[in-house]
Amino acid sequence: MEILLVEDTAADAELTTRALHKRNLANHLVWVKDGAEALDFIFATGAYAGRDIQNSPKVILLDLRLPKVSGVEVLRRIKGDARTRAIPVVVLTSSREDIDLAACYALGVNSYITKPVEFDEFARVVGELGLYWLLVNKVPGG
Amino acid sequence: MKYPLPALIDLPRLQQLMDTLYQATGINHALIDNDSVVHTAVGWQDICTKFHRVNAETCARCQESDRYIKDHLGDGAYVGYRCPQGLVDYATPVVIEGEHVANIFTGQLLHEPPDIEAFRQQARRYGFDEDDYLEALAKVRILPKERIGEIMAFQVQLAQMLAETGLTRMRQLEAEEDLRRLNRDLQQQVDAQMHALRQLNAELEQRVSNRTEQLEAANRELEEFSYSISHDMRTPLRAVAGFARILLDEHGARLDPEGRRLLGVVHDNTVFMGQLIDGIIEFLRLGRCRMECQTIDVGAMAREVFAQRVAAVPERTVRLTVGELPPAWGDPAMIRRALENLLSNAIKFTRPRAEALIEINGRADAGESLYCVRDNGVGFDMKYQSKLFKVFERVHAPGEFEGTAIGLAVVKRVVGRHGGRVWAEGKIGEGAAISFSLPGKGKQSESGR
Repeated sequence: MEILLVEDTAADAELTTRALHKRNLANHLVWVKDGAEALDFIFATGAYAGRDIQNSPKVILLDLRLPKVSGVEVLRRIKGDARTRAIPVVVLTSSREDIDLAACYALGVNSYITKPVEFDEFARVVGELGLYWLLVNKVPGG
Repeated sequence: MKYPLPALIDLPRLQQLMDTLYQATGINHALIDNDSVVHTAVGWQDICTKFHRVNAETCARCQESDRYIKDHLGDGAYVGYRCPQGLVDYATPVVIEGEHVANIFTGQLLHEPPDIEAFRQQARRYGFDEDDYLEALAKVRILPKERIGEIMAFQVQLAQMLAETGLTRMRQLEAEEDLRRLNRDLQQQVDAQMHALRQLNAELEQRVSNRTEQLEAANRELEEFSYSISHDMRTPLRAVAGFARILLDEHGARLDPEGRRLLGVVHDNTVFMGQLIDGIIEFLRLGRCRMECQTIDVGAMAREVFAQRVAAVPERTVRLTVGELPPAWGDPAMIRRALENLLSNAIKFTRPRAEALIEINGRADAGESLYCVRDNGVGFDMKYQSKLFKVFERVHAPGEFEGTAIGLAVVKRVVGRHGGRVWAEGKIGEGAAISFSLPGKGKQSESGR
């Protein structure tokens, strides 16, 4: 498992997956559909109780607008826990003007993608960021 | 009496007059009101003031004389009385508007030489010093009774004259008082009306302020609503554009050319709609973002923006000249957005020209900085001038020039938030000039959202 995609919109999840697939980055991708499920997965609780917490994703692609637990809250929990703090988190925002973006910076987001309407552009930025965090960036102990 | 005697009669003048009369004729005088207050007096006799009026018994007789005279007085006449002490007094009343206010006295005189022996006895009876008393008696004027008529005729005329001037004076005082009362009433009415007016004005102001607040809240709510709708619309739009693209890429081979064209139209329009939404979101954000103002070199910023924009059209020849520009006081990010839109428009609308010329000029005027971006492009019809700065309003045929038609609305909003104005001049085929003003530092009053 290399990428955790936290995305409630199925269409966006598919577009993201396709964009990563184009760069051969989607082979080890896990998709969770809301903030609560994301936290369960990351901290190996609830439905994911049996999962090895050490086996953390190389990058988390996090949508900000999520049901149950918001993306900002998920980010706060990841960056507030020593076991998960080092996992790179890339925030996916609907637009550059998203009011939650400032909060993400304060919480130590590693990077963000504004999801463009145009797919070619969307595929390009998602692909580049995936490539960067998976192949170029060296996570300590990762 | 409604008014005191001194208010009605010029007493100093009267005193002066009577002094003169006394010196010339020896006719003495007193004006005494009904409360026995002496207002003017001259030539009063010691025999009365120092003897008769001092001793209780003789004084009682004097008062009896006073009473008699008062009781027998009639307007236009006079009365004489011989007091028990042996002296004679005459008096005539002063009647102002039917009211007996005072008496004019003359007298303390004798009609014939006194019986010295009788006075001597009187001195002894009441314990006066005989020599002093007789000396005072010697000073008493002896006036034949026949002379009294003419003297009293004078005194009666004097009384009538005093009455007339007193009446005139009284009327004047009444008129003044009426005027004062009227004035006071009028002032009270004016005060009351002013108070009511002020209250009404305050209420009106409060209502306007309340209404403004409501409108502003409604406007804010509407903008927030628009903002969140615009935001949320991006997600389905991304799916439409994305899947149309994927369909075209992955299954395009199975469609005929018309099918591929139609799918392309779907895709292109979805992307365009995305641009519109991004434009709206930016437009709305510029209306509410925090402003951080500083001094801006508009010329340098314009050259920078121009260099970026013109790099996107390497096939074109576009020349920019920047004149001497006053510095601007504003939020750099916002002013940059305005310049980006103005220069993009200028570059876009000069496309048909072999050599596009863009000129930026400016000047400082009355505390504000004025700027004008002029081009030699296709221009516009001045009758559409008012539409120019509205969101989604186009003044060119669709398809002629690409864009979302939000650019000038953004410029207007940026300038408006700085407290400035925008205006445009143009002529079809001869270019356009968009001008804006920015108030100097400390003069901004945010408006025109």
